[in-house]
Amino acid sequence: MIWVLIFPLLSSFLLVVFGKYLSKKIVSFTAPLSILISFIISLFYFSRASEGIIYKIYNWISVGNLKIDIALKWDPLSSVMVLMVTGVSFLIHVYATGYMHEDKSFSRFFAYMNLFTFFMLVLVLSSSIIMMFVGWEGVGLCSYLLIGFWFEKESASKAGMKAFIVNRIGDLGFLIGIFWILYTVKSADFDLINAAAVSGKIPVAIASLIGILLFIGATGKSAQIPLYVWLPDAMEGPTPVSALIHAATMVTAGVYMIVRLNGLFSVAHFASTVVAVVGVFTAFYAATIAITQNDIKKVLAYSTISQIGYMIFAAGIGAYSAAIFHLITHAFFKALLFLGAGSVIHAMGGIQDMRKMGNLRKYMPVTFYTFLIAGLAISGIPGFAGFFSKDEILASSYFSGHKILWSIGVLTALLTAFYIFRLIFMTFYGKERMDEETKHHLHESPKSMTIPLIILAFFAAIGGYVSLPKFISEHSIWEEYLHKIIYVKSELHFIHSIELNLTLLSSALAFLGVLIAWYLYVKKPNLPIIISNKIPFIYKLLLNKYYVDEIYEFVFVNPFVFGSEGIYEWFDKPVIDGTVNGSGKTTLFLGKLLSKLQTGQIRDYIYSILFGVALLLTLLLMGV
Amino acid sequence: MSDTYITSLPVILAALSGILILVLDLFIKKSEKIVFFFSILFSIIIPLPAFLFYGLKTKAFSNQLLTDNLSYIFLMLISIISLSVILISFSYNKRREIRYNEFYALLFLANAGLISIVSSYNLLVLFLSFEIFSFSSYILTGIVKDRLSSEASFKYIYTGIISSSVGLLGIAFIYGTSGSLYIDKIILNGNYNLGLIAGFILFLINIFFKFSIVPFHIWTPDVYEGAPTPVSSYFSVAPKLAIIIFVIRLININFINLMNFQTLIWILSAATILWGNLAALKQKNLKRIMAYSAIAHSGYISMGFLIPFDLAYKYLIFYSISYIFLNLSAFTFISYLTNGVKDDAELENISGLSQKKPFESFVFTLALISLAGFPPTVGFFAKFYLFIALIKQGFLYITLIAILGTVISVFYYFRIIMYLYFKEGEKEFGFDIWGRIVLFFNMIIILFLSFYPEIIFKFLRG
Amino acid sequence: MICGYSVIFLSIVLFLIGIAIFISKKTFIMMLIGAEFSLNAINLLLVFFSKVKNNLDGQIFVIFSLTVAAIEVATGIAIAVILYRKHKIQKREDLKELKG
Repeated sequence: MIWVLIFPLLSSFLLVVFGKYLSKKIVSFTAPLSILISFIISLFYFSRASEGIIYKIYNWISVGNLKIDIALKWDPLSSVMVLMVTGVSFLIHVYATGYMHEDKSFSRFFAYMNLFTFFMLVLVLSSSIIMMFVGWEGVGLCSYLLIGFWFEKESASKAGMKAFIVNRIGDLGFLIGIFWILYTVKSADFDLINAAAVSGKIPVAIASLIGILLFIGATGKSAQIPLYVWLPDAMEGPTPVSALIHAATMVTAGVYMIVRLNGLFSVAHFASTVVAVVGVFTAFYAATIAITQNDIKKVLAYSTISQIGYMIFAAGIGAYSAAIFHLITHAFFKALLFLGAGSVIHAMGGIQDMRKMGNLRKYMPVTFYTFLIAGLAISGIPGFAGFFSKDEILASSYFSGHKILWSIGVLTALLTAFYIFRLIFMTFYGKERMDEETKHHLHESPKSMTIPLIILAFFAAIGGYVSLPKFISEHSIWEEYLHKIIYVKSELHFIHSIELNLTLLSSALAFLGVLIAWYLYVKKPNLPIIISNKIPFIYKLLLNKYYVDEIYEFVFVNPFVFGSEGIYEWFDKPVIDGTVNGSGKTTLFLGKLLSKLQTGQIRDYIYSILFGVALLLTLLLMGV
Repeated sequence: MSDTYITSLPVILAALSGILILVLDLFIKKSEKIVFFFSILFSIIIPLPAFLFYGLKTKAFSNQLLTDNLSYIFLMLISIISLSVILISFSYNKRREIRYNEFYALLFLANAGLISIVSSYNLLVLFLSFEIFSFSSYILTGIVKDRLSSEASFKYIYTGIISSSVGLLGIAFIYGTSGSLYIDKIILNGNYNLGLIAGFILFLINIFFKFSIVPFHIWTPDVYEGAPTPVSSYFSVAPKLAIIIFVIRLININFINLMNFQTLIWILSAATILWGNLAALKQKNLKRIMAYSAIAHSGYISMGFLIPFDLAYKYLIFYSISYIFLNLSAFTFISYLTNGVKDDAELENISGLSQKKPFESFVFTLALISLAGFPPTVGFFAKFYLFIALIKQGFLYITLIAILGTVISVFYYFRIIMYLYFKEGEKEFGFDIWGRIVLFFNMIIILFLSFYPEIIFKFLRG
Repeated sequence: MICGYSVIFLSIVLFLIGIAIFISKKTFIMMLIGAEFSLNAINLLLVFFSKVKNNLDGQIFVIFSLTVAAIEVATGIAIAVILYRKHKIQKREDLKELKG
């Protein structure tokens, strides 16, 4: 089993050391190959996973009676994660050999990517929270390196720093949570932590506190409110990086962590409620912002935040298998969306603004059709992967009594369908808005890029059939497989007729979202531009013949556009950015103040020493 | 051999090597290479008693000096430190035109002082050892005689005089109230009046000064910046290690609990951690950043003074070992950033150096990441063990402050890494073979300890 | 017999006077004189304690302490000479290049 880890690490090491001397051909062969080998090994071991095996390698550290091993945990949860990580990572590696072909730091890129895969595998395979933290920090490190990969660009290295700073705040919470666990449970092993929580060894209040601390870590890594601000900026990295790290794998680590510690979280009701509320609110909030973005990758970034919000929401209401289910399907369709977007950007010569695209389906059919499948999947159109997973989350929330949260989730489903099809229609339909030069160069991407797209599209289409809705079949392969890792089994009873209605409702909303997008961006392509240009234009419109459209837009589009812009301008920038930057600024200010105290004058130095003497003697006299 | 010889052998060896190297110049012309060779030879000879007598416990000069395993561990580590300082200073001394024999002789005399600190149990011997170390280090700081170096030396001497007279006042009080100069006798005597405790506080202030505890740290950044870089690297590890070992001895006789110093140490180490980490954020000079980082690490270590002996013995020594190798690698890298006339350790100068010097930059980065306490590097374990031990003793709040400190510290360490990897720059610095050797061995040790930290405990056990 | 507390008090006052000289004077030599002042105050204290406790350790300590004080002055003056000769610095205010 350890070989799963060794190959990516070895390949990364080779690329770092000998990267200069290897030709691009060899690099583009070895880097994906190492991941493929890991994938095959994990497939080979897959059948044993259902029993839940621990591969102990050696005793790493021991402090008193606290022993921490380097050990791999191979159970249903980690096995599906490993298959997903290695599988998606392999496809993205293959894709990147085409995408990054012109880059001068080709081998460095793959060294980081391999290293990332290694740390991600460490994260999901770890059997103790300490080892998970190793992976957690490791993927973070690779993520900063890869966001800032094109460090000649000022914005790229700034974005890397921003991701780094924001994640520090999350990690502070996570670390304190870990130490608290070690303090109360006296063990770092996931099984023991969960067992201790379920058996009531950890008081409920403490469990909630730990849960919230760990969740702060998750909000940093998984880009949830309030620490999501780094993810949209992280799109400065190369697109394969966005697909692998900032869509499919690393950002879902928070969800994985919560599910891994489901015993703890299901005891900690308060923490779970916080998790659920933050998740669903993030899902809604990010979806509203995604509507107005014009950068193709920014839309996808906000979409990722929104979808992870769904997963966090599911984990918060106790639907752990649904959370992981959505995680997996999301990995397929979001990786596909990003890779498709990368293919578009590749063809457009680096342009990411959707207003300069249009009618690309004529030039890049493969990209278009695969992208469309992914779009259908994420919108929750029946039959595609996202439909099953999203519906399971929504149904679970409805039947567990979270009706308000459920309604926000359903509304978000409508927004999701709208923004993703807005993207598709703006990019692949309508008039060709690019300049002649770019138009001339438009081409379908090379085979190394389109084949991964096709494979991912296949999974995005059929990936959902492992867990059918309850009204079709009571037995879900998926839930039965993951059954073993869940400590407090949910007693939810799904009423079939209601569930059917819920499904119909959300499907109808998804179709409605597509329809609105179609109406606004294909039928009347000028309308949204006019709407988003300020109020004087609306007066003009009122005088014009668009009376019906005007009412329509007032009801539907205005709240969307103004609401989301308003949120962005008045809430996101000052409040959230402000808090995050503010804590950084305060720290820096303190630093400046303290270094001002170092005046360079020896007299002040003597004063400092004498002050210390006086202070200590006073403390003594006060009897401290 | 009698106990007297065994006990005093390490000190005598170190002092003798210093004097021999000093006079070598009289007999041989063009002595640079020979002095260098002899220095290496001596620093290999000095730890030999540790291998011969490890496990023995001896006393000498009516119990004024003693050696045990702690002293031998110190002896091995101090030799590693001085060996690496000697190796990296070979090309440094040539560039800055430092006289080889003076430099190495002073280094060995400083070592002799430190070895004697670790072996002494008597306040008089302790005071003298501190002063032997101090005088050597004052001169080492100012050995280049340029503007910054002289200023640093001046500040170090003039603050050092004050702190040592405060310490001496403390010793006078301890002596006056207990009538003895033997620390263990004074403490086990059990007669604690206000004068004695005040005396100990004043006595500790001198130690805190050398250990860079806030607010007695104030000389540290200036001296580290102004001193020749190999000397800064020596200051950042050697005296600290000696003091740690000395304090571990004090913990062994339950000194801190008997004197009720927990709160005092608690407050000072919290202040030190926060001050060091915060003040490092805005610095532009690498040596200054490392100085503040050293202050912060003094804070982490001084937290460890709160835990009982058996834990402190293990975890403080683990921390010091990891800290020694990390700091030595970082300073080795920095000491090659000179342009001959002066040190050129501004942060901007290392922009893009990773492309020209990939191996050296990698080791430097490894050291920084580890100092920042990123898992799974050895620096993480050092902190991890210490924090766990503290939490087990019930010191939850100080641990939280320390965790906050490590989170802040990540910023300035990564700022350096960002300059190294994410910026473009033209400056070029040459590394000689000795620097590479030091970096290589440090890298091996750091990596090995990261994957197998338990080895140190196995070694400490038997 | 002299009253014990008065000697202790005297020494502490002398010590503080030394520190005050050290802080208030601007030239290096005067600062060193201040430091010597306080060291000798401590020596007085040590001798006194040695007499009270009927124990010779204190007086031995004074011999060493005097030696140390001599070396302190020697290094202190040496650096002052370097600063004056090479860099033309006589006052401690001029030494503020290292700060921050």
